[in-house]
Amino acid sequence: MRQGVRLGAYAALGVVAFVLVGSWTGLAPQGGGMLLLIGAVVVLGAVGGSWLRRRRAAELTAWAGATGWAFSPRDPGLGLATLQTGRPFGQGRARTVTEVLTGTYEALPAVSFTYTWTTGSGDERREHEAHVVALRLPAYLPTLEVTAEGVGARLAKAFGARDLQLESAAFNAAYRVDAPEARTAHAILHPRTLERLLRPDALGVAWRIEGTWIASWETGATDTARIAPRLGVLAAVVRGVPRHVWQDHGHDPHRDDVTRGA
Amino acid sequence: MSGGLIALVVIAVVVVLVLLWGVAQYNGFVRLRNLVQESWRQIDVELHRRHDLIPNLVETVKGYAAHERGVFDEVTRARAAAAGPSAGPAEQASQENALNVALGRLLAVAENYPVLRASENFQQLQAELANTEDRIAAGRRFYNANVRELNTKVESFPANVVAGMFGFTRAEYFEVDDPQVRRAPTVGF
Repeated sequence: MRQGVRLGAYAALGVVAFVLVGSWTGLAPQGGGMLLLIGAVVVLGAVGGSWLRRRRAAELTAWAGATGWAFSPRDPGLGLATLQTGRPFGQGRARTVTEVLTGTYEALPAVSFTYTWTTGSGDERREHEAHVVALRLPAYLPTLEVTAEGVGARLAKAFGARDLQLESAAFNAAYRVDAPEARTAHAILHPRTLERLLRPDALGVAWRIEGTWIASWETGATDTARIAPRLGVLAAVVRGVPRHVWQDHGHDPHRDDVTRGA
Repeated sequence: MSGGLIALVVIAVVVVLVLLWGVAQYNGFVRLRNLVQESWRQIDVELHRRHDLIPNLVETVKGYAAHERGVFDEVTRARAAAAGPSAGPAEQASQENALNVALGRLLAVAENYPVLRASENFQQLQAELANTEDRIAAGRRFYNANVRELNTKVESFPANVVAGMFGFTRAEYFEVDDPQVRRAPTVGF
């Protein structure tokens, strides 16, 4: 839709420019001819946008078919716009979920979608877009957010602001960890998981455990090439959660696997 | 306003700021000290859980290898020492290390009895013991992280001035030497 509107806007600008130049040079069509020209441009813009949307949907449908997943242009009733309360969720207004891909990854329910929201108004109005991938957890876990250590966070640390510090200096330098329950965060972020998160494919991947989902987000629309690598990082975190942490939250992976016959 | 009065006001402001900073540092030390104490208590709970599992394990192995009396006595003595009162984390760690060695010998004895290894009771006890040791390891990491933060603050300038004035001191790390722990685990990432 946005692409169609942009195409139409550019076309309209082109028409205005043509009219102005044409009026000055006497080459522009008059009266009904001008109206026909404007109408044709608007229709072309809308048709172009529709074509782009269909092509995008076809690409995602083909990707879904090749991987055994399902594609839906909108949220198929999963409540994805309120998947979590932390960023990118819970900000701004006009929050929409599109390009939804659902399936499983390492036996866990998985989802990928484009999340958009709007902030500001008037001249300050901005539209934002994020590609979110998420895995459903077998049980609720306390909130734990791990994001790349940025310049702002480093400056804040220089003035005394602290996030959770772990045994690995390399990990502390690469990531910022925020967790209301420090004990559970320490249990989940044990040395093997810290080592896994320092591998090249995991560096820079922001993720958050909140409720029964672990989700990762990146700026921009859905990029199918980034789904599997990011889900791989999330799955590694989930696999690394110690059994006693699950047991403390009402789930026993050994017993439940036996019950399911896995 | 005379120059002298301005100087007095500036000095007063500086003094108030320093006092506020001192109060913030003091409260920070109190918070960290309480965190260290609370996280130690959590480890204590898990250590007692492990100590409570050991008599069942000894009795189960005795049912198949009653003649290995020396091993059973060693485990029982080490367990009694570890379960008793200790002077602090360092002494507790030493007692737990001795218990780890004795348990290792007990489990090595069990390895020689396939029927024992296959028994459901023994397997369940082993699983509970492993689970408890995972909890102890997690609790140790959290405790040591709090100790690290407290010790860093006690030793860093200018916080160490407040630490010295009010008697805040370094805490002991809880370091257990467990061959099981030091062995690299096989994990498929």
